[in-house]
Amino acid sequence: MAHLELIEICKGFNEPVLDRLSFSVEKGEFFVVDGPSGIGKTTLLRCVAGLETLDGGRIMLDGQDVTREPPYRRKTAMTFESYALYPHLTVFENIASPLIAHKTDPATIRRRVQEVTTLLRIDHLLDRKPHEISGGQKQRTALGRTLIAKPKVFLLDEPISHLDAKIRAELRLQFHTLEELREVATIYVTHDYAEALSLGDRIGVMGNGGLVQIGTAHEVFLNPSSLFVARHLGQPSINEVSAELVQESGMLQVALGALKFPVAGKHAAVLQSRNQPQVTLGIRPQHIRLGTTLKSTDSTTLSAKVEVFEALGAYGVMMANLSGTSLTLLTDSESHYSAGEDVSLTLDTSEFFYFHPETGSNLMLGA
Amino acid sequence: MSESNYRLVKILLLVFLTIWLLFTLFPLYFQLITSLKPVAEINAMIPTFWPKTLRLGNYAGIFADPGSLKSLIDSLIVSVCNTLLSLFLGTLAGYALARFLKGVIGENLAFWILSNRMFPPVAVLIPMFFLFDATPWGTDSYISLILLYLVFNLPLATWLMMVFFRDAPKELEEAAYLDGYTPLRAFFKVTLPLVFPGMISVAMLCWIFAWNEYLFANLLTGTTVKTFPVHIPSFTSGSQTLWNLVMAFSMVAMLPPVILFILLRRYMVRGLSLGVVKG
Amino acid sequence: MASVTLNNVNKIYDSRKGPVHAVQNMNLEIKDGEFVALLGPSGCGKTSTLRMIVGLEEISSGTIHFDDQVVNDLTPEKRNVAMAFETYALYPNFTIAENLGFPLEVRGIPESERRQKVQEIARLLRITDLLEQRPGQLSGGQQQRVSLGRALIRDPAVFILDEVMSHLDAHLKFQMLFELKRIHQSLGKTMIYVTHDQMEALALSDRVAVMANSILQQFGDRNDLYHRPANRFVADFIGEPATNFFEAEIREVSGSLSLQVNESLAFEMDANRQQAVRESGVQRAIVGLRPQYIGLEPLEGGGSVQTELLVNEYLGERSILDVQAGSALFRALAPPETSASRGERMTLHYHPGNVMVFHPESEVFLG
Repeated sequence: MAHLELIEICKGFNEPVLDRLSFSVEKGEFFVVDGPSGIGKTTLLRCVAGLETLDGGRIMLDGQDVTREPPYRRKTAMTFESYALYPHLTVFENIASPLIAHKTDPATIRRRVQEVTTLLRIDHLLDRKPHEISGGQKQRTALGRTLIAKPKVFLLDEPISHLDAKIRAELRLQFHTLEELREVATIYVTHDYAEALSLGDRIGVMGNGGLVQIGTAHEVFLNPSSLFVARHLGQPSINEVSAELVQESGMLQVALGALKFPVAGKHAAVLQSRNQPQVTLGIRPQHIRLGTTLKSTDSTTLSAKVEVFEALGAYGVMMANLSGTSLTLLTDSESHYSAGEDVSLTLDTSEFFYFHPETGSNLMLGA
Repeated sequence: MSESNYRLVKILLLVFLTIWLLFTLFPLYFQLITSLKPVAEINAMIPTFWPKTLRLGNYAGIFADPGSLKSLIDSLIVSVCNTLLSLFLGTLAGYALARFLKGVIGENLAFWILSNRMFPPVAVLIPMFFLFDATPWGTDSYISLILLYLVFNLPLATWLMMVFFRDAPKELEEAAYLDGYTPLRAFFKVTLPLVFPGMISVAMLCWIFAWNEYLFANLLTGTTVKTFPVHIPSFTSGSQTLWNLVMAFSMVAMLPPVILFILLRRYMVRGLSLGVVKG
Repeated sequence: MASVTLNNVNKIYDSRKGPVHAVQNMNLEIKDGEFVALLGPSGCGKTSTLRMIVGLEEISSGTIHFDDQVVNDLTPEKRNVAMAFETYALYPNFTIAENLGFPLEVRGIPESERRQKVQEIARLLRITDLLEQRPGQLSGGQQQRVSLGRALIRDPAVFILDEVMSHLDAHLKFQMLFELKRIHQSLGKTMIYVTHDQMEALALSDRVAVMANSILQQFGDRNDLYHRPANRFVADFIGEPATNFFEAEIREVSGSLSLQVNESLAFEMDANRQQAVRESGVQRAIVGLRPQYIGLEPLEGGGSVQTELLVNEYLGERSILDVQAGSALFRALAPPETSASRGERMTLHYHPGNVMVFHPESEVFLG
C-alpha cells in the first residue's frame, strides 16, 4: 500500500481550489507537484499538513486515516515558502524546535542538531539569528528543521524559488544527494518546471482543481497528455500552431498554410484512426534546427525568415517566420543572426505533438 | 535639488527646530526653577528666570508631609495593577480578535471596542461614582480605580494588541504546529515573543494614563487612597498656593515616567511602528 | 537620442556608521542609440549610478554628459530622460489612455496631439485594445507595457528601465525580452537597463556594464564578457549554468604548462594562455570553465578529463551532469537524451581555448 494516499480531496475558499484530487506517494519517493503560480499547490500541501481542513475526501498516511488529525499530531513536516523561521530564536533553537516540542532530552537534541547541520553545511551558524544569515542559509535552516523531526512525509513548498540561479543549482544537487529525503515520502512543490524535471521521481502537473498528468520526467516532457502540460513544461514555451491533417498521395500530411509535409511514420496510424482533421500542432523549440542536416527520415526542411534573435548564454533563441507562422527555436549562441535574414529550418516531425483544437488533449494518447 | 537650495532648507529646519524646542522645553525649565525658589520669589511681580536664591530644601520639605510619599506609593499601586490587568486581558482579547474573529462580526466587534475609547471620559463621571458607591468596597479604594481605569485602557490595549497580532505572521504559528506544539504552547513559545516589543509599548501607554489620571481619582478617592494628582492641591498655606512646593512635587512625580521612557524607548519606537521582524 | 558619458563619477552617502562610498570612480561611455545594461548583485551601486544619471540623486563628484552637455545640475525633466519602474506605478483611477497621456497633459500638450501620440505608442506596444480599461483589470505583463508606454510617450533622449522584469514569471519574462528588443530596434533610442539577472542583460543589450562593490568591473559585449572576463567575479556572475571554478597548481612537463587541480584532474592550456601564465610568474591559479564548454562530444585538438557521475539532471531541453573528479565537483551540459546514471565513469572533453585562468590572489583574468 502506498505510504501517503490522497483520495478525492476537495478544498475551496470562495471558489473550489482542489476538486476531487487523488494521487499517492510511495515510501522513499520524491514526488514533485509542478504548476503555474496560484493554481493551488500550496493549498494542497497545507491540506496534507493539516493546516487546512478538507471540504471532502480523505488522507491516508501509513495506513491510517489522518483526515481529522490536527497538524500537531500528524507526522508531517513542512518547509514554508517564506521559511517561517522563528526570528527570536537562534539557528540551533530553530532546528531543534520539533525535538523540543516532543520533549526530547538535551543531549539527544544537541547530537541530532549537530548531525543535521553538518549535513547541510550550516554547522558554523548555530548561534546566529535568522536575520543575520543569507537566503540560502535560511533555506537550509528551514530544511534542517524539517529533516530533524523524522516525519513520515516531507512537504517542501517552493523551497528554493527565491534564491538566485547559482544557489538553486547547488541546492538541487543537495536535494538529489540527501539520503534522508529518500527514506520517507516527499512532496516537493514548485512552479519551475526545470526543477521538477530534475528532482522528481514522478511529477504531477497541476491544473485547475487537480493533477492533469502524473508521470516520470521523461513521460511528462516527451509525452504530455494535453496542451496545458506541454505548454507549462519548457522554456521557451512550446510552439502552438493550428494545422490540418490531409490525405495526399496516400499519406497523411500536415497542412500549414501553403506548406505541406508528411506526418511521421509512428504518428500516422493513430492519427488516421482519430479522424480529427483540425489539430493544434505542438513543436518544441529544441526540435526545430537551423540548417539542413536531416536528423532522421522523419524530418522536413523549410525556408524561413528571421524575426528576432537573442543570444541567451549557453544557447540562443530565434523567432523565425515560416510562411506566416512565427516559430521559436533554439540555436547555438556563438553565431549572430539579423532580422530579415533567410534561414533553413529542419523540423523533426517525429517529435511533433498533435492536440485536439478544443479540448487540448494529446490525440496520440487514449480515446 | 541644487546645493544652495539644500543648504537653505537645512538652515530653515534648524531655525524651526530651535523655536520648537524653546517652546516645548520652556515650561519644564520654568517648572524646575520654580521648584528651587523660596516662597517670596515665586510671588514676585516680575517673574525671574533664574532663582535669586536656590532653595533645595523645597524637595525635603514636601516629604515632611507623610501624605506625599503615600500618594506616590498609591499612584504606583493603582497604575501598575491596572497596567498588568489591562495588558493581560487586552492581549488575550487582541489575540482572539486577530486570529479567530475575522470577517464582518469580528471587524464590528473590534471597532465597537475601540469606540469605547472615543467618548470624553467626563461623560461617565457621575454614573461611575454611583456605580462604585454601590459596591462593597466603595469608591475610595484601590480596586475601584484599578477597575475604573480599565474602561479607558482596556479598549486601547485590546485594539493595539490586535493589530500587533495581525502583524505577526500566522505562518510562524503554523510552523510551530507542524513542529508538534499545540496552539496554546505555540502561543507562548512563538507568538508572544514576537509581539513582546508591542506589549511593552502598550504597557507604557496604559501606565502613563493611569499614573497621570486626576479627574476620577479626585472624585472617587481622597482618604483611604490618594494618588499624587489628588495630593498636589494640599500644598497650600492658608489661602496661598505654595507653587514652589507644587512644582517640586511635580518634578518628583514626573521622574518615573521619564526614566521608564528613556529606558524603554527602543521598545516604544519598535512597538509603535507596528512592524514585526520578518525572519 | 543622446550619448551618455560618465566621467569619474562618485557617490558618497552619509550614514550612521560613517560615509558609504556607493559608486567609486565610474567611467562609462554609452553611445547614442545603444542598449546598455547595468548589471550586478544587489548593493553593487547600479541603482545609485542609475539615479545619478536620471537626476534623482546628487552627484558627489565627477560629471555626467548627455551628448556634449553637462547635466549634473539639471533636474530630471530638463535632462529629458524617462524611466520605467519596477513597480509600474500606474494611476489606478485613470484609464490606460489617460495614464499614457498623463506626461503630455502635464506639459500642456493639446488633446488632439495627445490622442494621436497615445495611439502611436499603444500600437507600438500592442495594447490598443486595452486603452479604455483600468490598470486593475490588466495582467502584470500588460501593466508592464503600459508603464513602458508612459515613459516612452515623452520621446525622451534616454530611456531608463529599472528592474522592470522582476515581477514577471518566466514565460512572461521571455515574451517581454523580445518585446523590448523589438521596441529598441524600432525606436533606436539610447536605453539603459538595470538588472541583477545576467540573462536579461545579455539578451537585450549591445554592451553590459558589470558592477560589484561600487566599482565597474567590466564594460563590454557578450563576447568580451564570456571569453575575456576582466576577473573571476565577472566570469562567475555571467553565464548560466554558473562557471565551474577550480584551484590549481601550475605544473611544467616537457616545456608545457598545465593546471593541476588534484591527482585525478588537470586542465591543459593553449599556447597564448601558457605564455600569459609564464609571464605572470604565478605558481598557482584559479581555473574557470563554463559547463557548456565541457561535455561528452570529443573535440579536435581538445583535452579530456575522467570523472564519475553524481547526478544526471534531466531538464527537458538539456541535461546537466554533476560530476566529480577527486575532490572537485563541477557541472557539464549534455543533450537531454543522455542516459548516464549515478556512479558511471564518464570522459568529458573540452577545448583548452575555453579554459580561463585567473590570478590566485587578485583574481584578475590572466588568459
